[in-house]
Amino acid sequence: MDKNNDIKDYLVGVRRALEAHGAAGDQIDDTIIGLREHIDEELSKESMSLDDILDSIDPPAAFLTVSEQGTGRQLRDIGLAGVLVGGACFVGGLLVIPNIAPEWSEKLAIPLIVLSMIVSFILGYLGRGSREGQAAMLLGASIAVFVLMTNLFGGGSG
Amino acid sequence: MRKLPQSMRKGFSEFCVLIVVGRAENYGYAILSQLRTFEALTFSESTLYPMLSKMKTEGLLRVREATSKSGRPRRYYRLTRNGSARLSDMTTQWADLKDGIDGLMADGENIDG
Repeated sequence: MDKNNDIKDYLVGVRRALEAHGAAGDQIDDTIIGLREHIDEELSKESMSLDDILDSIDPPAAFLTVSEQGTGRQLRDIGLAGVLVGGACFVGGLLVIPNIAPEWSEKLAIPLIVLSMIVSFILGYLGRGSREGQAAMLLGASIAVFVLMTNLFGGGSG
Repeated sequence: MRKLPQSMRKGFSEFCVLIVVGRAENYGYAILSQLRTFEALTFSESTLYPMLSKMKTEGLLRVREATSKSGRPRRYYRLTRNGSARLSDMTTQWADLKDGIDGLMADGENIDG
């Protein structure tokens, strides 16, 4: 196994440990980049072999105990809530209410769609440090584009 | 030097990172080298790199990517305005805490004496 594979294996182990502990996606990526730079700095000194360097730095399991990582799990949960609640409101406003209760459609569908956009944006923004939060923001933006396009084309044809 | 208990280390770690980065813009490896001179806090890779990321997310640090003289990519960290304000607050709190504890210990000595 060459040097790059050893480094890659170590970094994969760290990534898994951080993921297992619920760290946010950005925090995982930043940590991996920092560690890669750290190993390169040690290698450039040429005072230790790669094996010695990997032995001298924290093992992947040490990253399981990073005290701040609960924050990452919270960010993921908030982002996921943004995706689920925003998505549910959007589907409800666009498909469910017009089909199940057409008479409520005018009163409820548009407010639900607007609510889905707001919920996705707000929860996505709060959980923006996680991939789920970013997905919620993207969902909010997509709904906004959808609403805008619908208004533009709906207004033009009507 | 004795290691501080984990409950104390947690609070002081961020303060120490702010102090080191507040002195000058620096990259992760160099920051860790400086922090390691403070043995009581037992800084290591698993402490520092996630913490730098968290402080960046909180808007306390700004990151600039650049290439070192030897051609390696490096991420340089420096304090944002919020980071400087946090450092200033923590410095004041530290002085108050130190004075308070010194006072308590002096009172204790007086009572014991």
